[in-house]
Amino acid sequence: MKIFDLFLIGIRNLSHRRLRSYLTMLGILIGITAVVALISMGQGMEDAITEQFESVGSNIIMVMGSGGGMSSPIMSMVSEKPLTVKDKEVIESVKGVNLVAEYIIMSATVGFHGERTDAFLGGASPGPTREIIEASMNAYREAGRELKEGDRYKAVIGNNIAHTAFEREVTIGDKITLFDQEFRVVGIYKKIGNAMDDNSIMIPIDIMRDLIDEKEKISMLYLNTKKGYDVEKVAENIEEKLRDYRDEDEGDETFVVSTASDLIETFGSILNIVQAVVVGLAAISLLVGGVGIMNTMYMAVMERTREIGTMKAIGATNADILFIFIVESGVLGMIGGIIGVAIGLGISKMVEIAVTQFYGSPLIKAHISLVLVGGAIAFSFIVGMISGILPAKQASGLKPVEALRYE
Amino acid sequence: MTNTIVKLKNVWRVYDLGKVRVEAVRGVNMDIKKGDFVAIMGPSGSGKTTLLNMIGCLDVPSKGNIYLKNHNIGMMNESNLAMIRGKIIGFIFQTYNLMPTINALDNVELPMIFQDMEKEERMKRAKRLLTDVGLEKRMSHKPTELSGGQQQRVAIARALANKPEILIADEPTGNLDSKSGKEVMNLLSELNKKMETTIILVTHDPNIAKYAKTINIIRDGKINKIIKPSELKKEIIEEIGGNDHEK
Ligand SMILES: Nc1ncnc2c1ncn2[C@@H]1O[C@H](COP(=O)(O)OP(=O)(O)OP(=O)(O)O)[C@@H](O)[C@H]1O
Ligand SMILES: [Mg+2]
Repeated sequence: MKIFDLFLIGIRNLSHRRLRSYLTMLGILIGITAVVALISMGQGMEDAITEQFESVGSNIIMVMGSGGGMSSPIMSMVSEKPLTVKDKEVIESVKGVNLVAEYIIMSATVGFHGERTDAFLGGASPGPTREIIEASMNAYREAGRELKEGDRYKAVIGNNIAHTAFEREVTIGDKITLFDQEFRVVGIYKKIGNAMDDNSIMIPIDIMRDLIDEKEKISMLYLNTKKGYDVEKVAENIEEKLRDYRDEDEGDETFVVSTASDLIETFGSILNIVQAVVVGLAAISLLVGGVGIMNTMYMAVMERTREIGTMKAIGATNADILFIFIVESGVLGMIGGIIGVAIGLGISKMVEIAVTQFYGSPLIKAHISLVLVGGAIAFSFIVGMISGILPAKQASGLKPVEALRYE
Repeated sequence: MTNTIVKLKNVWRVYDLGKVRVEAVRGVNMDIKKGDFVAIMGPSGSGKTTLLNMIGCLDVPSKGNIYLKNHNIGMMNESNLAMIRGKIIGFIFQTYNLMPTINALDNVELPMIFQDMEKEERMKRAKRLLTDVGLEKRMSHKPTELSGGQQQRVAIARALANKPEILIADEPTGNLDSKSGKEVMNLLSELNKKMETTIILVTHDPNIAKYAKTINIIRDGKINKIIKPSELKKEIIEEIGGNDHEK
């Protein structure tokens, strides 16, 4: 009970502070803002990515070439040693491999009713292997049909191409132009949630190879494993076989074999690095903020020396005084924290809106949880309290007579 | 039965300032009974405040012993002393020393918070005390919104919050005009009579000292004379310097 009353005294003292002393919580505010915005966005991005990959199917393995230190389907084509149909044959011979789908992708300009826009053109062979690609892209049709065997100048288009890329909606049966060749739209994908996939157009791979005059190279291979085989093990075997065939040393490969769980991990570790850097910066600003709070608390102890003496004269123990000042300091930090949480979440939400506007799909969803909000506020309270320990000790250690004599 | 509540045995207080040693209190013996009303008078710098602070457990003697209700306070640690200050002693200062940011009621409530009294009981008692000192209409006023006399009455109410047995007042009327001073002194002597509260008060003003039962004259850190108010003659007033240097 007494603790509660002393707590109120600490808060009451704070409410009589001048504006100047509130400025010192700016450091805490900035630190907490940074941490909260970062965690909210990072977690939001991770959620979005995990969600996407989880639906990929756990028995799918992806192989792509790497060029210039980057590995992406697009870079894969222009690398010095791109994947070719020969590699595909090697992979098909690995035990446990079921179906292998080759996929080529490049950026291209697409025309519709005199308008032109950039898109990603993907070539896949109609039939069962196409399903592996669509499954790993998390692509489902919203209208029309899939590409089937015997299709020639037919296309299935991404959601953005259909609804937002052109002035007019593109609907089933419409004609679009790719490399001066007309294609009839036979299907439209549902929104997938990432810019690349939503802006892609899928056509039969043979047609694409003719159009771009490229018979051998492959951007990416998607394959699934047979029932009863360990996906990671099969991935390892593929890597080994490919290394032998391409005559490359371990660690110097010009290709990457990855499984869905690998991708989640890689993304997670990139996020972790970014988070570590920002958390480091936030820690510095929290430290500066803590020193600022300590400074105002020392000032407050000095200004209130006589009051401290009086409180001791009317029965306050050293512990009472210590508690009052630490609470005041903690709450000072907490106010900075609350404002920081509000701003941090605001920034995260704004990024979500901006990204959604820009890409037309929610790549990042601001992650707002009780743990994050409560944790950040509790943390700022603790930072404030710790900063207040030394000044509070000074206050509680004052000799009553001397404090009362203080002018 | 002696009924002694405060006893000082050869009490010294020496300030060691490096080069100089100031002997503020030099071997004082005192014996104050429960219900006494003692005034301490003496020239400026004679050691009155120093002595009072030691009796009030705000300071400790350099030598000698002080007994409050037969407990040697020299043997106590800071938290014991805090408890004595909170429960047994009530302080009234010349400069009132109210908390400037909170109102009269909250000021009177404060000492009861430190003694962990229930909120409801605290409020009841604080209101009662402020009513007793005639401030029932000023409870929500902050110190700056009160006159000096009113502030000192709030301070008296605060000093009485935990029903102290000893009231210690260092020049309680020093900053007040004679009318307010009289009101404050009437309150104190009423308390002394009705509640048997022991009062130890420092003053320069012979008119104030007259409210006491005994007057201790202190000079150069030593008790020089103990007299009755009726014996406060002109010579003595001149000897102790009166209150001329104060105003
Ligand atoms: N903290 C201190 N350090 C050094 N000397 C002190 C201290 N406090 C008091 N003194 C000295 O002790 C002596 C007695 O001081 P004290 O305050 O007790 O006098 P007083 O009788 O209360 O005087 P006044 O009537 O002016 O209030 C003085 O010489 C003073 O300078
Ligand atoms: Mg004095």
